[in-house]
Amino acid sequence: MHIIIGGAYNGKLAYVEQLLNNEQVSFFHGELPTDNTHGEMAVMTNFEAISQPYLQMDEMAAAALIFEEIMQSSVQFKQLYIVATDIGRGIVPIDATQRKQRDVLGRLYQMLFKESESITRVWYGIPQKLK
Amino acid sequence: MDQAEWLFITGGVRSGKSHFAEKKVDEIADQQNRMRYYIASGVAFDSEMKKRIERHQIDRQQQQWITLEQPTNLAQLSTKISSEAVVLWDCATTWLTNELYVEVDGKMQWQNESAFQTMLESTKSTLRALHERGIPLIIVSNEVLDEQSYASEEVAFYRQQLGLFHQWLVGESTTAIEMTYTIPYYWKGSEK
Repeated sequence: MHIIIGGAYNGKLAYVEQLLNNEQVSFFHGELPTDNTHGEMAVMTNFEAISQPYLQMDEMAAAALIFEEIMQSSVQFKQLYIVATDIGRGIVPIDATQRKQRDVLGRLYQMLFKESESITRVWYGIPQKLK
Repeated sequence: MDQAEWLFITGGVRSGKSHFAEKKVDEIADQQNRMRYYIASGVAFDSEMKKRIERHQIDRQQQQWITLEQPTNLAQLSTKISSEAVVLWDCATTWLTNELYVEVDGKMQWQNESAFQTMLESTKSTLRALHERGIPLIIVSNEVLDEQSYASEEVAFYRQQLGLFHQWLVGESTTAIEMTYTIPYYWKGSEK
């Protein structure tokens, strides 16, 4: 697993696309891969949407469930690239569900960071290796 | 002759970006015997903003600065700046905010896609042209994209355009810095 993280509109996806230029890639925007999708490389994006159905649950439980699903589906692919938008550095939202989402994704990203063999932060198109 | 410096600095509020940028301008002005130009994009819409602007003005009083008030329409700058200048533009976030609400053909610019793109292209070519004249550019902006997306179409548009503009600035710059409370991190280029 490889993680690419950074703020919104920082060029994360363009970075991954250029990285996997010559590969056969399946993209999953805001959804988890289904059982019958296979391929060489997978790119998953939009964890804000993926987390939506889990936001009524306990923070840790929600993160753990999403994490498990990602890990299960990752075995179908030779490599999994996670494109994570960092949403944890802004003003605390007034809406409770939005606050929950920040918390859940923060926990999820921590779990994914532990598991991932590489982590790259992208800042306006420039990559920085964190792990 | 070496290529002129194009320095891009972002960071959070009160992280020391402007101070760092002004010191950098002083350095270049002294070493290369250049005139300090300050492109001000802020508009004093309330008393807090007025104070903020005054504080930046006091910071610049020690040296001889030429201040150009340019809240929008940066293309107007090209004829106003000497080739012997070093230019500080502070900051891109307020400028972009101002541009959103410029009225073109009865529509605010953020709702007028073609007008907005035209404005953006002329801004970019103005900055490029200044730099090609050998004028060092120091451009300050803010980090505002590390939070959740907004339901508001207007804010979403702003975030997208700011992110894309930052990417362009980083691409053009010789040095790109993210400032964390007075500590610069060099994403591109290095300390000179």
